[in-house]
Amino acid sequence: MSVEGGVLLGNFTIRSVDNRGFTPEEIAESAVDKIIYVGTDSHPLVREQAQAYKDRIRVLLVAYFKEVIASHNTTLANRLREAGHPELIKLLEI
Amino acid sequence: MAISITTAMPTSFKVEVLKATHNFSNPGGSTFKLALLKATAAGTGTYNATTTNYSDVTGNSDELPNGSGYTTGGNTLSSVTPVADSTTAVCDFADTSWTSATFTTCGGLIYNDSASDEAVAVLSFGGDQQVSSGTFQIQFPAAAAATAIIRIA
Repeated sequence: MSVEGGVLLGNFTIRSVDNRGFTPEEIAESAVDKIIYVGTDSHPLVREQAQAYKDRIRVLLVAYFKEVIASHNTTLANRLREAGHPELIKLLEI
Repeated sequence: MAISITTAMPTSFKVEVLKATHNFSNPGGSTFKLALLKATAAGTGTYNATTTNYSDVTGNSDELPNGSGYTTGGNTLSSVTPVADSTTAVCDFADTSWTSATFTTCGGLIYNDSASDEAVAVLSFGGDQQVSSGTFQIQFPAAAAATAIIRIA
């Protein structure tokens, strides 16, 4: 008697952007896929609820990521000012 | 001759799983890395289920060179301690990125830096992937029975 199974390798995704880094929206999309996985065999009601939760989490992540960027830019702006390069601060504006 | 690469789980890895060579626990487990290969036409090696070690890549000089956002040896992966999803054991890695990157790559090799660089997975990118002064990211799937990057069903 045998049981079917095995050591398996899953699918991965490649993503790249040129001349910039990822936006908060792009990173949030990756994060939310990791945080919430909705199985294809899930009951439709469960899937719908999970999807709604996923959408809510995505919005929250984007908002917080933007806060992180703004906060970090404030830190960088102060470092540039202290280093005598206040003219570079405008480069941080997005 | 060009690089020939096929996404695969090395047969040697399957044997090593049974020999307890690899420990995916975090913290306390092995250190896993993901090295990137050169563009298809820039290399010579063949990578598939018969690949056994990171030295297969370095021996053929098929790894991307240092610089332009890449450091030889590749990125250290942050693993998630394996768990069970229903009757399947699943393992996950955090997505990994190369920033300020300018290179072309056709695939990668996950290997165990703590266990003599033994190969864990061969990843084909389905052709050359290019990034210019940007960010190159590999996203691993959700850690679920049907999707996880490494799983024992």
